[in-house]
Amino acid sequence: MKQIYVFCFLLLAAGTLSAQRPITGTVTDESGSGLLGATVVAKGTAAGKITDADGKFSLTMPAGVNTLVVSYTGYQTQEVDVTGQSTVNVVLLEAAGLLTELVVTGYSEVESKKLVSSVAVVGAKQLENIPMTDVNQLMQGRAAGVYTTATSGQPGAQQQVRVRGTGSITAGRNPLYVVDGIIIEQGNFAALDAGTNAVDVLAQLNPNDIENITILKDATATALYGSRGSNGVVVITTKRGKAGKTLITVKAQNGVTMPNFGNFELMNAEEAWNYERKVLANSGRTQEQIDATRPASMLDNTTDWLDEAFRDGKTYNVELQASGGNEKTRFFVSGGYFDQDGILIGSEFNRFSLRSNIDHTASDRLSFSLNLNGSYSQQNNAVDGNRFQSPIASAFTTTPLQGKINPATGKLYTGIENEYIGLTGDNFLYSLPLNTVDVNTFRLISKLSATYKILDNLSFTQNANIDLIGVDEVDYDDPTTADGVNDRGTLTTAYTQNRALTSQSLLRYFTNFGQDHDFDVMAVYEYQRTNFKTFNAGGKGFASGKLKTLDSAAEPNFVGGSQTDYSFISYLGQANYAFKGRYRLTGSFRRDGSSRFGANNRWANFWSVGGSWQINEEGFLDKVGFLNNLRLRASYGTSGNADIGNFVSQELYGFGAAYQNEPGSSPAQIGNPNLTWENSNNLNVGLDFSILDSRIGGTVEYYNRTSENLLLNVPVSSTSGFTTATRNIGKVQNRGVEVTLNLTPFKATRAGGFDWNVNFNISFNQNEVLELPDGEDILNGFQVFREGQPIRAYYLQKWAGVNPANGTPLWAVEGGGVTGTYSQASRFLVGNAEPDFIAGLTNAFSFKGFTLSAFFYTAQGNEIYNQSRAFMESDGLRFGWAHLKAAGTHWENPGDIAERPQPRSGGNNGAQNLSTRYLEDGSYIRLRNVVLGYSLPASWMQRARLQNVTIYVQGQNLWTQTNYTGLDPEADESGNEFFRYPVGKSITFGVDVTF
Amino acid sequence: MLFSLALLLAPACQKDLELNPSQSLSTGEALSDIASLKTALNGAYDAIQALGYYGRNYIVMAETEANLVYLSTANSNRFVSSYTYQWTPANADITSVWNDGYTAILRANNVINNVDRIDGDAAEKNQIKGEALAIRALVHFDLVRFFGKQYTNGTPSTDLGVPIILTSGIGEPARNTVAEVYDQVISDLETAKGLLRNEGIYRFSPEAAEALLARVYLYKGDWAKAETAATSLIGNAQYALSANVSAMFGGPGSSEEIFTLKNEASENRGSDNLGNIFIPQGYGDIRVTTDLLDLYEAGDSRATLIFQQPNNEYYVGKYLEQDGVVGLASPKLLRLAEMYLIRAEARFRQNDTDGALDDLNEIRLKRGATELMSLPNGIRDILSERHRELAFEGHAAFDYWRTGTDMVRNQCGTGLEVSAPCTIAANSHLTVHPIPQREIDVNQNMEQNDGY
Repeated sequence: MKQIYVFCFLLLAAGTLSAQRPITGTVTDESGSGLLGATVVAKGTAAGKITDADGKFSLTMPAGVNTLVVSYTGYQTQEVDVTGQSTVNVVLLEAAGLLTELVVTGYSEVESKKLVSSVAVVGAKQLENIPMTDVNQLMQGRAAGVYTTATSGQPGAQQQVRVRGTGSITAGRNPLYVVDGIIIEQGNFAALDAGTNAVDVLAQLNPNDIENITILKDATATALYGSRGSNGVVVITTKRGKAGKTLITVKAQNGVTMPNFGNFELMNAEEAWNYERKVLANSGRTQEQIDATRPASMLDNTTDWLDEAFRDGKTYNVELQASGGNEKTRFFVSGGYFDQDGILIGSEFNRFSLRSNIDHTASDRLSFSLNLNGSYSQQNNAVDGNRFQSPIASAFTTTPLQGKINPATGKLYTGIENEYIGLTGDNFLYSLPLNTVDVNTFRLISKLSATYKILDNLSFTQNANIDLIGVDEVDYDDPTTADGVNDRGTLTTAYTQNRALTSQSLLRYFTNFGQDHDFDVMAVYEYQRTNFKTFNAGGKGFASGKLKTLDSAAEPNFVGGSQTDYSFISYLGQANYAFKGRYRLTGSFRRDGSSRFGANNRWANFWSVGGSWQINEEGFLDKVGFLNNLRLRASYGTSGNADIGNFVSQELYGFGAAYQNEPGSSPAQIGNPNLTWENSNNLNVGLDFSILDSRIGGTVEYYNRTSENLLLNVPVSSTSGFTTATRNIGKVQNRGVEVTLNLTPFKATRAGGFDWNVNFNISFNQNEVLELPDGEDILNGFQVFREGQPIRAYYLQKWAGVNPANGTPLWAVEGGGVTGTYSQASRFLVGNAEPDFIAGLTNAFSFKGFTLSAFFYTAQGNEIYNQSRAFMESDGLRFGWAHLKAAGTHWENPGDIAERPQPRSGGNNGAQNLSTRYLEDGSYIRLRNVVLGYSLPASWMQRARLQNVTIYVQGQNLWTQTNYTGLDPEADESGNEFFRYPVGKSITFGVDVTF
Repeated sequence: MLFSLALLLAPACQKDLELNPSQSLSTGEALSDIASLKTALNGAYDAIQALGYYGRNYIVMAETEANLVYLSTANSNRFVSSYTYQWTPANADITSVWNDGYTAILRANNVINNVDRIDGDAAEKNQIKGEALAIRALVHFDLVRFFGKQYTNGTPSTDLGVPIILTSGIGEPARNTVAEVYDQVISDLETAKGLLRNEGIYRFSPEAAEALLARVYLYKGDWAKAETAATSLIGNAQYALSANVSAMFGGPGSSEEIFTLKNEASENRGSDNLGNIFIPQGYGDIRVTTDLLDLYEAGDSRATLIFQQPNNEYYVGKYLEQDGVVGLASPKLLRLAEMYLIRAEARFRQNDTDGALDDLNEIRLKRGATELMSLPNGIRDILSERHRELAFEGHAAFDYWRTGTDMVRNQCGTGLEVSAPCTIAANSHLTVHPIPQREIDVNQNMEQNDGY
C-alpha cells in the first residue's frame, strides 16, 4: 500500500522554477540506515553525486531543475521534488516490493504483473526457521497445485512432491529442481540404502538460505525445460546481498519432537496374552496345550516395544547470515549447523552448510556473480528397509510377551536365542547401537555467471555450474547380532560420486517500436553431462565393532562398482511481445537431445504459446475504482518427461549372476528401440484479481494436462522369462481448478497496529487414464489401470463382513451375493489413492511486536490401504506378533454381528487377504505449523545497538483430525501404508538477532 | 546469432548423446563366443538357484504340503498357505515358482539357440548345449509336476501341463498337455545325454541326465525305462552309497551325489538360506513330525539327521551349515540312493518284489536299519523308505500324489502346529497348484486349474 502512495505521490510531483542552488541530504533504506553509494542526479542533467558511508550527499542543483533522481541497485529508483528545499531525506524502497515483484522462471526473471504463465511462489517468510531438513517439507500446503507428502519421519528423508497430479506411471513423477537457474540433482544417491526414501540430496540445501521458491506449473513456464519439465519445475532462488549497511543475523533454535502414532494402538502384554490364548482355544486346543504354549509365566517378562523404540527427538539449529555491500559488490554469506535426532532411536541427521553469493558489477557493461554452496551431512538411519535390525518393523510387530532382558544373563536378548519370539530373530534394542548405518553426504553446488551488455538492449550471459555429490556410507553388522552372526560381523563401505556439469549460454535482446510495442527475445544453448560412479567393498570377520575399517576385517567379502552417464543438449528460444503494456504474447521453443533414448528418437521439440490481457487498464474500466488488478492469462504447450532409466531402450544382458564362483550372465532387459519421451500437452487459463486497495486478491486457474506415450512396465506373460516389458503406451489426463486467495481483513494503519492477513489455497485435481493399449486393463497390484479411472484406482475384493453363524469371513461376488471362499470373491473398483482436493489456510496476525500465524493443511477424499493393519489384525494368522488393540473385539458366539472374524491359529479362511477390509478413508486436517513471535521494541534495540531481536515458539503437526486408524494419514502416493517411520509433533523455541 | 554459435559448438558434443551402459552388454555381444556362452550358461544355473526355486521354496513346499514336517505356531509367516493348503492364485510362493522357472528356461534357451551359430570347438559347444538342454528339461519337468496333474494319477494326454517354451520372446502361449511336456523333457534329456561329458557333479553330466530320466520315467509310470536308467547309475563305479549320512549332509561332494546344485559361501542369503527355515538359528519355522520320527527304528543313522531342542521339538539337521555359513546348503538334486528307490519302485510295479526288496535293503543296511523281508503294505512300504531316506529334500508331496496316496497328517491339531487340514485326498484339486493369477491376467490363452 505504502508503495502505491509513494508512486502516486511521485506522479503528482511537479517542479517550479528556481535558480541554481546547493542541496544536501541523506539517502536511507526503510529501516533508516544510510545507503552508501547511491546515485543522486539532478533530473535531466549530468550533475550527480554518490552518497557517502552515512548515505549523505551534497549537490548543486542547476537552475530550473527541481527534481532529484535517486537510484540504487536493488531499490526502486525515486524522483524527489525539492522545490524550495535545501535539505532532503530520501527513503528508498526495496525493489522486491509490490510494484516490481520479480518472478523467477529459472532462465529469466519476469515482473509479476507481466506474468503470462501459471506459477506459485513461496516466499522466505514461509520458509524461514521451520525446523525441517528438506525444502520440500516446507512447500506443503503453501502453493496451490503442489501436493507434498512426508512418507517417512527419518530426518533427511525424501519427500514426495507432485505438481498438478500424477502424469506418469513408471517414469519420474517428481518435479525438476532448479537452483539459481541451473537444473540440479534430486533424490537418493546412496548406494547401500538405494531404493529407500531415507536419503535425499535436497536435504543438503539449507532452507534458510532460500529467498523464494517458484513452482512452474503451466506450459509457458515448463516448456522452457522441454523434455524435463512435464512434472512441473521447482525454481529455488537463494538470498543475495543488497547494497547498504551490512546486516548480520544470528539464528538459534532448539526444539523437541514427540512421537505420534495417531489412532494406532497396540494390545498390552496382558491383552495379547489373553487374545492368543483365545486364538488357541478357538482352534480346538486343550487347556493343557494352551497353558503350555502361552503360560502365565510369559507375563513376568514383557516389553512395551513402541516405548522402547521411540523417544523425544531433539532439534538444534544455529546459523549466521551476513549480507550487504555497495553499488559495485554485494554479498550474502551464511553458515549453519542443523542437528536433528529423530523420534526413532538410532536416527539422526546433522548438516553443516556454507553459502557465499557474491555479485560484482565491474562496469556498466560487465557483471559477474559467483555462488558457492558447500554442505556436509551425517545421517544415521534407522532403516525401514529389509534389515533385521530395523526398529520400524520390529517395534511394531514384536509381541509384548517377549521380554527385552534375557533372565538367564540379565542382559538384553540378542534375538538369536532359540526362545526369542520375534519377526526377525533380532532384538533391535541390542543390535541397533552396534549395527550402524551411516550415510555421509557432501554436496557442492557452485555457479559462475558473467553477463556482458553488448548493447544497452542486448546482453550475453554465460553460466557454468558444478553440482557435485559425494556419498560415503558405512554399514556395520556386529558378529553378535542376527545380521552379522553368519559372517562373524560384516562391514560394508561404499562411496558414490555424482557429477553434473552444466554450461549455459544466454543471449537476451529487448527493444520497443514507438510507445506501444515492447519486444524481447532470449536464446539459450545448454549442455549438461552427468556421471554417476559408485563402488563398494565389504569385509567379514570382526573382532570388535570399535574398528570399523576394512583393514580390521579378517577377510574380504566382496567388492563391486558401477557407473553410468547421461547427457542432455538443448537449444531454447523465447520471445515476448507486449502492446501498450496491456496485451502480452509469449512463445517458446526448445529442442532437446538425450543419450537416454535410442538413435531413432534421440531428439525432440517442445513449444508453447501464451497470452495475457490486463483488463483493468482498459478505458472502460477506468471508473471502477475498487479494481486494482484484473488479468486474464491463457497458455498452451508441450513438455516432456525424460526421467527414466538411462538405458531403457536397449536389449541388454546383465552380469550379476554367478555359478560355482564363475561369472554368469542373464538377459536383463527386453529391447525397444522405438522407446520415446513421455510428453504432455498443457492448457492453462487463469484469472488474477485484486480489489479494494488490494485487500482482497487472488488467482483462479483451470488446467488440463494430457500426458501421452507413457512409459509403462507392462506386465507380460512370464513364460518369456520376463515379468514386464517397457513400452510407450497410454494417455493420462490431469485437470483441475486451483484457487488462491489473499485477504487482509484488518490492515494496520500505523506501525504496530493490529494486522490480520489470510492466505488460502485449494486445489482440485482429477486424474484419469484416457487410453490403454487395446483398451485393456492392466493390473497394478491391488490397483488397476483402467480407462476412465484414476491411475491409483483400487481394485479389490469387497469385504462383506463376518458370517454371524460361524464367525468366518465373507466377500462380495459380482452380480450380488457373498462367498466365504476368498478365491471366489470378485474384484471391484473401490476408491482412489489421490485426494479430491488439498487445501492450505494461513492466518497471520500482528500487533505491536507480536506475530501469530497458524497454518492448517488438509487432504480430503483419498483412500489408504492400511497394510500394517492387515498384519496386526490378522485373526490369529500372525500368532506371536503384536496385535492391534482393536483386534481384541471380534466374533465370539453364533449370531454375533461382528466386525472381525473369529481369530484362529493359521488365520480364519484367509480373512486377512487383500480386501476392502483394510481400505480406509485417508482424509485429514492438520495444524501443520503455528508460530508465536515477539520482536523486542525498537527503543531497546537502539540502546543495545541491535537492529532487531525476535524470539518465537513454533509448533509443527500439533493437531490432526482424521478417521484413519493407521500411524499417519500422510501416505505415500501408492496408497499403501506398511510400517513406516511416522512423522512426529514438534515444538521449537528460537531467537533471531540482527546486528 | 547465438544459435549459430551454439551450432558451431554442437558437433563436439553430439557424441555425448551416444552413451552405453557399463554393466550390461547388448544381447548380440553377450552371446558371441564360447566364453560368453559359458557365462550365459552359468547364468542359467544361477537361475535354478533362485529362492523361489531350488534356492529354497520349491524344496520346502513339497515338504510343507506333506506330513513329515509341520509349521510351528510360532512362525515367521512363511509357507503358511502351503502348509494350510489355503492357495490363492495370487500366492507369491506359487507365482515365484512359475516366474523363476521360466526365467531359467529363457536363459537356457538363449544358450541352446545361439550355440550353433558361433565358431568354436565342437566338443565344447556340445557340452554347453547339453547342459542347457538338461536345465531346460529339469525346469519343464518341475513345472509340470507342480502345476499339472501327475502323469500316473490323471489323463496325461488331455490334462493341462505348462507351456513348453523353446525360443525367447514375449507371447501368450497356451498350456501344453502333461504328456506333451513329458515328451519334450525326455527328448531334451536324451539329446543332452548324447552331447555331454562328465565335468563333475556340480554341472549336468551324461549320468546326471540319465538319473533325471530315471526320475521322469518313474513319474511317467514307464517302469521298464525307469529301471534301466536307474540301473545304469547303480552300476556306475563313480557312485557309491555313503557310509556316513552325517558326513554326507555336512557339505557337498559325497560319493553318492550325481548332480548337486552348488551354492558358494559368496551366495549366502543370510536368513533365507535353505537351512534357516528349518533350524532354530534361522527362522526354525518348520519342524519334524512324529509321523516321520515314528518311521525310524533304533540304529537307523538317518534319524541322526534330526535333532531335539530344549523345547522338546525336533528339527531338521540336513542343512545345518556349509563352509562355516549357517543354513547354507548345496541341494543334492540327484543322488544314488534315489536311484535305488526308483529301481525298487519300478521293480515292484513290474511284480519283482524280491528285486525291490534287494534295492531297499541295500540302502537300509548301509544306514544301519534292519533288513526288510517283505513288503506287507506294498507301495506304502516303498513310500515309507523314500520318506526315511529323502525327507526334507523336496519329494514327499509329489510321492503321495503320483502314487495316488492320500496324505494323512497323524500329528495334527496338537497345539504345536498351525491349524491345517489333517488329510488331503490324492484326488483333491488342492494337489495341483493354481496357475499364478498374474499369468492368467496377462495371457489370454492361459487356463486355470480346476477348483481355483
